[in-house]
Amino acid sequence: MSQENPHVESPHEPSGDDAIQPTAPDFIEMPEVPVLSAEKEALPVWLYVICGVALFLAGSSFTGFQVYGRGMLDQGAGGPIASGVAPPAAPPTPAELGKSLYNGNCANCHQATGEGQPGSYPPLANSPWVNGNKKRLAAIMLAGVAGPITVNGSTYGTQVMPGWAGVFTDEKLADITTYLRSTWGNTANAVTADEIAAARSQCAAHASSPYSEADLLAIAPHGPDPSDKK
Amino acid sequence: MNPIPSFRGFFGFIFAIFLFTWLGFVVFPWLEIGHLPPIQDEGSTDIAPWDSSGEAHAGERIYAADGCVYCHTQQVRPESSGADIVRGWGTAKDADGKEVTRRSYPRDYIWQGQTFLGNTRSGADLSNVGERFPDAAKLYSYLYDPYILNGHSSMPEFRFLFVTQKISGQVSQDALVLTPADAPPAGYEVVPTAQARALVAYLLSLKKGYHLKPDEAGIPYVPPSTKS
Amino acid sequence: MATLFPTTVAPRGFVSTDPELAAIDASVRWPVLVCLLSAVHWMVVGTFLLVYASSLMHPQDAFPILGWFVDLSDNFSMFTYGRVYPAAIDCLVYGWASTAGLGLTIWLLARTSRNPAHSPAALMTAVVFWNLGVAIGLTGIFMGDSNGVELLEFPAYASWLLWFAYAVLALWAIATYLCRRAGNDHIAQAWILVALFAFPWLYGAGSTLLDNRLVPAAGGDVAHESWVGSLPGSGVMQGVIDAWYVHGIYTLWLAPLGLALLYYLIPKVSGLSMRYGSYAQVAFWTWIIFAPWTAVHDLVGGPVPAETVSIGLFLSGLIFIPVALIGISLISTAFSAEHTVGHHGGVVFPFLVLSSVAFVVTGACEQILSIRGAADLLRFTMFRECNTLLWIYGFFSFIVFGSMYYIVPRLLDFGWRSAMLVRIHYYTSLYGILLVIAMLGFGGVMQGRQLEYPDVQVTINSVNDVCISYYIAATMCVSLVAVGNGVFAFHLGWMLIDWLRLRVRGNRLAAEILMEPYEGDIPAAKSEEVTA
Repeated sequence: MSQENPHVESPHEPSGDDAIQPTAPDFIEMPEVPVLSAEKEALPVWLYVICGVALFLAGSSFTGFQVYGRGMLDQGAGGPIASGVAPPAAPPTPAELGKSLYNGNCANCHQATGEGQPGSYPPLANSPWVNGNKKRLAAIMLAGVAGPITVNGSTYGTQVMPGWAGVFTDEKLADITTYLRSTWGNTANAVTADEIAAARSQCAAHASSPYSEADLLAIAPHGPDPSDKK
Repeated sequence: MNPIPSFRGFFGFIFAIFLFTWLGFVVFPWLEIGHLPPIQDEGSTDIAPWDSSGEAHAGERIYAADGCVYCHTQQVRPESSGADIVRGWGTAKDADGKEVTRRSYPRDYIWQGQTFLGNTRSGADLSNVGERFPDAAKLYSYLYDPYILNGHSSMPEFRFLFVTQKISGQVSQDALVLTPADAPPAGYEVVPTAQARALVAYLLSLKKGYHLKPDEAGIPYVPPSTKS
Repeated sequence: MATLFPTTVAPRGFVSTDPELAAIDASVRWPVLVCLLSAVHWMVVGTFLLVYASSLMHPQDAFPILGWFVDLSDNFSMFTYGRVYPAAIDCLVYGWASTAGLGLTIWLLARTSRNPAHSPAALMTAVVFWNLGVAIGLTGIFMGDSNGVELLEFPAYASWLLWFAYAVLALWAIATYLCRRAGNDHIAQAWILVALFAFPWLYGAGSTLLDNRLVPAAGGDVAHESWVGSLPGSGVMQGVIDAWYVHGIYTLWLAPLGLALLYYLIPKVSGLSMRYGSYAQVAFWTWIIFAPWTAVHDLVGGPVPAETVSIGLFLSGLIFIPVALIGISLISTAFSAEHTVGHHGGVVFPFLVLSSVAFVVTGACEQILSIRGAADLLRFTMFRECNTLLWIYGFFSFIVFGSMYYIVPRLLDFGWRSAMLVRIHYYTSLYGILLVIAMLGFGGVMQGRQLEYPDVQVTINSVNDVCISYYIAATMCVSLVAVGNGVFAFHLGWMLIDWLRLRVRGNRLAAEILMEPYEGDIPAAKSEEVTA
């Protein structure tokens, strides 16, 4: 079967195998052939492999197959839900926020249980410093403590507690102190961010130097504080 | 080989297959979520979801005509599906001012005349845009020139929704406050047209701060936020 | 060996070797020609609108001239992106793809049924009404009457025209098929019938349930407990029905029409029977069952019942079965036809090959989206745009181009003017589409990863910053495709003008056709049976 390229070309048109040029079928009716080949060809193996992969991927939608009862809404690729949809978590309370801040920053020294370390870090559980005057506690938090300090009869103070005024905002300090005052058996009332802010301005003079025990007792002695509203 | 041995049989098969897709994809979901009634909020006389004013419904027509749906969606997907919640698109405030953060439910759309779920996000999801932009003046500015409020925006300007008119007497109440680059010549003001008003009323109505109780459709109860 | 072309004073065209087919072509000449020419007109308009819309998605600093377009779109409601973009897609789907599809359907059904058209006037009326419908619909979108529903933006006063035109065409088509000459059964007919049955269901349900004229002024009616106080499709169902419609149009309207043409033309042009033909029926039925469920890709994670999405993803995940069977049949036949049609295949065949490959790529794209994780990632990104353009441009446009290169000379009895123009058209289209798909596909993945990054610091702005370079690349690539399409339209126009000159003046000099009389051999039939 000979194949000619019967087209008119101008001398400038490139010719050759790479050019798209009309060929016989473009302008004659080729003889009719059966549309579908009669021979039964087996599908190549690589096609089965690809289809197997695709089938596996199609089945992957079953890992997120959610048909648990009527009314379930689609979860995307989130995976099967046990029963019902978990309600979105309520925003954390101040105490919860304070707890996570405490555990991340203070627990290294004062321990997650609030027991501290004998000689070095005073305990916070049942501590009059924690349960007492809020301004004094705020002062401790803001500027820190240096020198020996007595808590429930034992003395601590080989380490210096740093101040956190430059690290935490008033809200965060309020959250932490609220947490301290409501955990490990402490039952004092919460501290607000405003109170911390007021203390911050009053402690400005002590900005970079930690308090000593005497300074703290000067702010407020131990014992019930008449100005402290329960 | 005759691909269509019997025309009737062929037609019958085709019809059956189309019917299968129609039933499975459209009819059964319709039976499940197509007739949801509103719900009374627990402990109050609020009806959830919140309905909106007639002007807001008129705004739907503008939203459709100007093709906002080709860049904005109005469906918040659950956290397991994407970062919609993380972006804050599912957050609104309820009647008491407490935050409600959740995905979109079918019941959110029952009062809307035309819904615009959307399929592309060139811009933010708008389910709760009324919460993030509660101020009509800000929305007018945004429509006039998104660049004023958002230097990275690829949103087109909608200046044709506004009219630059001569100030007669006093400056109009809803005249836009614009930067020097966009401000009209002295003595002129830019005011929104009725279309802009309707559109903004619609956008302001897009907030989903109500609580939905659990019911036969399995929607979980969202407790009020305890943030003080 | 018969000389096909008389070397007399009469102008030289080519006379078909099959007088019966030539007579059938002559009987449908005018409706099909008008369909194809108007389709090319809409293609030019639609491509221009698409380039315009694409250029609005990114800053225009690099192309100051585009700044002028942006000013237009800022200040005139007609040219805002939200109207230009749906107009572009609707123009390409209803104006280009559907009109060409209908014209080619007329031609294909007439040919395969060996049944010349007896009432071309009715067909012409239908074609004119269809074009009117598209024109009025597009005008409606620009004037602000868009429905705001994807692919159903035409206002009701336009969609009724499309309906009427379609009814006439479909009735003619089915009558032609039923009155076919005995023994003329072709798998292309099966595919066309699927498309003809699917369109009324799709368009009927879509245009009536989602027409926003039916929205009452206020939503809901507490007193009467009719929460369906909105469109007949209420609430979320509007989104569900629209998803069903959009993917139904691609898989049950465009795909069957394109595949019918491929199944007809590849054997016709190459002289080979389709390989793996024994799987054709399985592929046919599995496509119809599984492909429409690709609609579920638009619902993953949305406020819809979980079981619908799960079942839907599984069913649409099985789309690889028909795609593999059809793909291997088309592509292996196409590539083994090299020895009959030559290295590059002439003018028609390269487009058929491109279309076959594009079909497989589109199927792969849909398969990817059937994976939940991928759907979650890519749902709201430009990947969806990539899918749309793969259907309209990648697959359907190429088969229409190939068909037109085949059909128009036979209808006009006149040849194409320049092989160079065909070459330019082919290569610009090929590279343009390849790059558009790559840019939008990859861009979609990048956009999705940024969009779904679970960090509150990421905002929609940072997502858009990632997208900009892909949008710019997409604009450039769509422009390249537009150049190719423009070349094709120019070539067609040139051919028509020369043909008109010939008809009007009978001037022999004007008939310097591309193709000289064919003096070679006609390849013998490949098998003993010579049946269609």
